[in-house]
Amino acid sequence: MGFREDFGVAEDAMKHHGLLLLLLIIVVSVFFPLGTGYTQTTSPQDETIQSTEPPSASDAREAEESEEVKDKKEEDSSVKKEEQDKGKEEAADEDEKDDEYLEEEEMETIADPLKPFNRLMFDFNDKLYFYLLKPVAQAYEAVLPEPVRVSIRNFISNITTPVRLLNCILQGKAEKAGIEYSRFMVNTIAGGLGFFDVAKKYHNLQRQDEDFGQTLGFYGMKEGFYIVWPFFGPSTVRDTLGSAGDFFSDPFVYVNPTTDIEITKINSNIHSGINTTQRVNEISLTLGTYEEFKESSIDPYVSMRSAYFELRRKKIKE
Amino acid sequence: MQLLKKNIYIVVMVLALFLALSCPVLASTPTEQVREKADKVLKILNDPALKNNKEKRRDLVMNIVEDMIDWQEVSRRALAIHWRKRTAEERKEFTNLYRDLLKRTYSDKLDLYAGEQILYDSEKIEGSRAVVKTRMINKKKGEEASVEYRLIKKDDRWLGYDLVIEGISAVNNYRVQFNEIITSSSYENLIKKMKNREFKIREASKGTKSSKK
Repeated sequence: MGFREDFGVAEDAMKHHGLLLLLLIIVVSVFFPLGTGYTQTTSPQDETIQSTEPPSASDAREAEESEEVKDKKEEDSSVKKEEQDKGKEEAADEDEKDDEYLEEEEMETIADPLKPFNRLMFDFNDKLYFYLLKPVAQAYEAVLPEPVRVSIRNFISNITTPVRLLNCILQGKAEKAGIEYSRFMVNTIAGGLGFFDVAKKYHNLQRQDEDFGQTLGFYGMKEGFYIVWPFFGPSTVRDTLGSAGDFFSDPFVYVNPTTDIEITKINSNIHSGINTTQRVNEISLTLGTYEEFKESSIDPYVSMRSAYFELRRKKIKE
Repeated sequence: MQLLKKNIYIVVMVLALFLALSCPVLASTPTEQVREKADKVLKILNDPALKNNKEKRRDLVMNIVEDMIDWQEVSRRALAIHWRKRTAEERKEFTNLYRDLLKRTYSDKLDLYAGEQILYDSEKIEGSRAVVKTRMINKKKGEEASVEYRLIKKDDRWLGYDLVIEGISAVNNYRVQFNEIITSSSYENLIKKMKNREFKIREASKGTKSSKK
C-alpha cells in the first residue's frame, strides 16, 4: 500500500465529511462559545486568575496585583476573599518567601459541571478495566511476546499517520508535518510496512502527536467542560469534537471504501476490530500503570482530570 | 587592643575569601547533583544481588532520595493557599504525613523498573531555582518518557521540590486533589484520607505481593 493512496483516501474523506464537520464545529461553538458560562471553579482564586499557564516570577507579582484590584471590584464573593486575604497577610508575616513562588500555586481552571455523571462514568471505566480489559490484555500478553506487541503498536501507529500529518498541516506546522511524512516513508519502506519504528531508532524522528482536538485548540476554540465517556475515558467538549474529526481522517475507516452496504458493514466491523486490538495491545504493554496511578492518588478521579487538562493544555502550546 | 582588632579583621577577611573561593567548588550544578543521585539509584536497581530483596532495595533507594528533596517546599506547594491557614504545628504534621505517603507510593513504583536509562537533555537555572530535563529510555519497548526535575537552592545544595513526568507535575496534581478535598469537605478530612491511604499502601506492601502486575 502506498502513501499516496492512503493520503488520498484521507483527503477524500475530508472532502466528503468536511461539510458535516464544519457544521458540527459551528453548532458546538455556538453552544459553548467561550466556555465561560460553564466554568466551575475549583478554588476561590480561580475566579480571578484565568490564565492556564504558570507565568514567570514577575508575571506572578503582576497577577497578584491585578488580582487585588479585581478583588475590590468583585464584592459578591467578598467573604471568601476576605478570609483568603487574611490568610495571605498572616503568611506574609510568617515567611515572606511565600510570595516569591506564587506563580505555581495557582489552581488551574477546570470546568466540570457534569461531575456526578463523570464520576459515575469514571467508576464504570474503572470496572471495565479491571473486569474485562485487564484480563483480556493479560491473556493476550501471555500469548504474544513483547516484541510482537511492540510491532503491532508500531504498525497501527504507522497506518494512522494521516491523522497526525493532516493536523500538523492544518496547524501550519511544516517541520512537524515533514517529520511525520518522513517517518511514514521510512517506516513503511525500511521498517517492513511500519512494523518496525526505524525512523525513531536510527534517524531520531519522534512521533508528532497532533490531533484534531489540538487543531481546534490551536485556532482558539476553548476546551469547554470535562466529560468522561464510557469506554473512551476522559475528554472535553472540544476534544470530543476532535476525536470525531480524527475518526474521519483515520484510514482504517476507509479500508476498501465502497458503496456496497454489505461490504461497508464488514468494513465497519474490521474498523472496530482494529480499534479493540489496538486498545488491548496498548494495555498489554502498559499493564500496571493504571494500578500505580490509582494507588498514588488520593482521589483518582480528580487526579486523572487534572492530569488530562494539564497534558492537553501543554500539547496545544507545543 | 587595636592590633587585636586588626588581627580579627584580617582573619575575617581571609575567612571570607576562603569561603568565597570554596563555594563555587562545593556547589555543583543541578544536573550534576541529580546525576550523582540518579546514578546511585540506578546502580542499586541494576544490582543483581538486590533483585530478589525488594524490601532492602527500596530502603536503600529511599535513603538516597530522601535527603535530596525539600519536603517542606513540596508540602507548601501542594497545599498552596491552604498552607497559609495552617499553624506551624499543622504544617509540620502535614509535611511528615505527606512525606511518608509519597515515599510509600514512589518506592512501590521502583518495582516497575525494567532497565530504563536516563538521558540528560538540558538545565535551566533561574535565581534559586532550577529545572533539569531528562528522558527515561526503555530500549526494549522503544519507549521514552520525559522526566523533569524541579529544584530549589538551599545552602549551596539543590533540593528537589517537584517531578514532572510526561508533562504532568506531581505537585500540581496533588494540589488539585488536596484543594478539591479541602473545599468540598475539610482539611481534617484530607488528613484522615491521607492517613488511610498511607495505611493501605503499607498493608498492601507488607502482605505477599498481590496480583498486582
